[in-house]
Amino acid sequence: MGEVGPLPRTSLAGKAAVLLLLLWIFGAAGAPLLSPHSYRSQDLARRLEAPTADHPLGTDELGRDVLSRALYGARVSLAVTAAALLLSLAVGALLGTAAGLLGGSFDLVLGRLMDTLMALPGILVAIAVLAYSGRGFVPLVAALSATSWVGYARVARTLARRTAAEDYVAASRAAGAGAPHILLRHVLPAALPVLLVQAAAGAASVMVAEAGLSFLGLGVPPPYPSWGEMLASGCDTLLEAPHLAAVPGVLLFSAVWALNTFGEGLARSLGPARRLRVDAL
Amino acid sequence: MTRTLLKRLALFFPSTFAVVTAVFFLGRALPGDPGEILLGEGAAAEARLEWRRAEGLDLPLHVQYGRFLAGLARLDLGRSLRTGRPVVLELGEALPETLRLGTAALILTVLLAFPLALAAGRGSGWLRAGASAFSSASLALPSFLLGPLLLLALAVETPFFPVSGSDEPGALFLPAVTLAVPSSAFLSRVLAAALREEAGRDYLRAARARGLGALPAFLRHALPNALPAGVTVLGLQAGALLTGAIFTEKIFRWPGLGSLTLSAISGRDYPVVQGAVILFAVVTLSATLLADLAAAALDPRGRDGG
Repeated sequence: MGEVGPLPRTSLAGKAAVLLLLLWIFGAAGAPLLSPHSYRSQDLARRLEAPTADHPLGTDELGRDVLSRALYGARVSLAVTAAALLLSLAVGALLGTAAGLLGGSFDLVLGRLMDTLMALPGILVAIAVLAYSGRGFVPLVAALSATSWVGYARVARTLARRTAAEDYVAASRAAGAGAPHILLRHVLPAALPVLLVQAAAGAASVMVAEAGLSFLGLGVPPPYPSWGEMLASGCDTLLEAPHLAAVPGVLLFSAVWALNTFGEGLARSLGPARRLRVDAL
Repeated sequence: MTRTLLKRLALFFPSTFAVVTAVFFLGRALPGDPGEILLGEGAAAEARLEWRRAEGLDLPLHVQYGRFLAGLARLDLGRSLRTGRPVVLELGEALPETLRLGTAALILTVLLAFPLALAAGRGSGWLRAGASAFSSASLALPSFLLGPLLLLALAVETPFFPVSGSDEPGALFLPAVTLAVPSSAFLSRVLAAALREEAGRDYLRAARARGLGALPAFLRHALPNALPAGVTVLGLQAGALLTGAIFTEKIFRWPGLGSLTLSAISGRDYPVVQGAVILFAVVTLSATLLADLAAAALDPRGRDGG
């Protein structure tokens, strides 16, 4: 995947998106160094303050520093999005290729399960899972992945069937290779590039879903900040302190836009070429 | 047509059954004791045992499951742990408010999406650019961003729209717009793509050659062929509108199904959560089913029994 880097930077929007994403990752990674205050220390005497030199983005309803919370919130957003993407990619790739290679009743049952999950809105399934499991990083990642693995499984299944029909796989099988060898050496390597592009294109929607669940009060538990939770509490004080909703709102909008633009650009410039290469194999 | 119907029904019933089953077993796998929530943490162990026996929670799991299904068939979803009232009543009171909001949003979605799709699919230059800018911006503007933005811009600054609640006459407008904008962006994208595909077809050129004007030819011949795709998406969007209402109702403090679900989750009122999830799923699946059937009926290509 060495040639991935320069491709999406063709347009101005693409360049801006990459810059924004880098800024976002930099802010998330450097949150402990960049934050002027602790994200959790309260100062009830200085509630809902407008931006000052001491608090560059003001303070929230408990007198906590908004800039520090926004930076730590970027960490939550990044970590949860990345973990949910990886989990759904791994589960989808594994189950999808297995269904494609094994066929039979496993393929049939998985197919019906996927149809059912796809018929329901993903956010509803996530809310149902979180309603029963309680809040936390792991339940949140599981809830976000509960439906999103299906998209990867569908593509992985198709690719696995296509690869399994190739001559070189038949040759490998004739040479005595077992199912695990064929899966690991032939099917997964052929499917992975396509699935990675698919994951890049889907990252923005995972991030929106994470923010949405946090907005509903189902995200990572307090006092850890997340943009969705900051936005929700900002909505309660929209009249007195509109900046409390504006800061996470602008951050979320820009990050989602950048991720969308980046993912779509990647899929556009890389998707067909990659798929062609898979075909040519 | 019959085959489509059968295929859709074959998906609808197992899906509904799967949701009901999943909700039942998720509920029984809970770490906490629901009796503790109802009776308070200080309740005597005996009182809790008594309650469990009265609720049938001491029975084997498969018996409980059978009772659950039998209750469901009678529309008996148990009682709320907080109010003690039947869950069906609580849901029944909240549902009309959500349907009112959802219907308004659905109408707005269609009203917004068709001009947008025509602009993106047929319009020239700046019209097309404007339509595509709108849809890509609204993709990055989920309801929980758009809602507060509209509140700030319109409700706080002007006297026309109330900030929260559902009683005042203008109250429906902002929540409905919040719900409709992302849906219409998505719908108009699909419609525009379908229209563009139809615009290059021979039958359209033939219609033009017969002397029909560009717009009439387009409306009379291309639009009917593009419509089924739009109706299918509209069915999917009906589900999205319903779940989107969870966010919108929280932002605008709308007393519907979404608000009920959220307060039930935070109050650990599991019978209500269970009922709400089942209701959401059934309405969503029904909307998809209806839209698929309508799309099949509308499709001119399927009319000759083919």
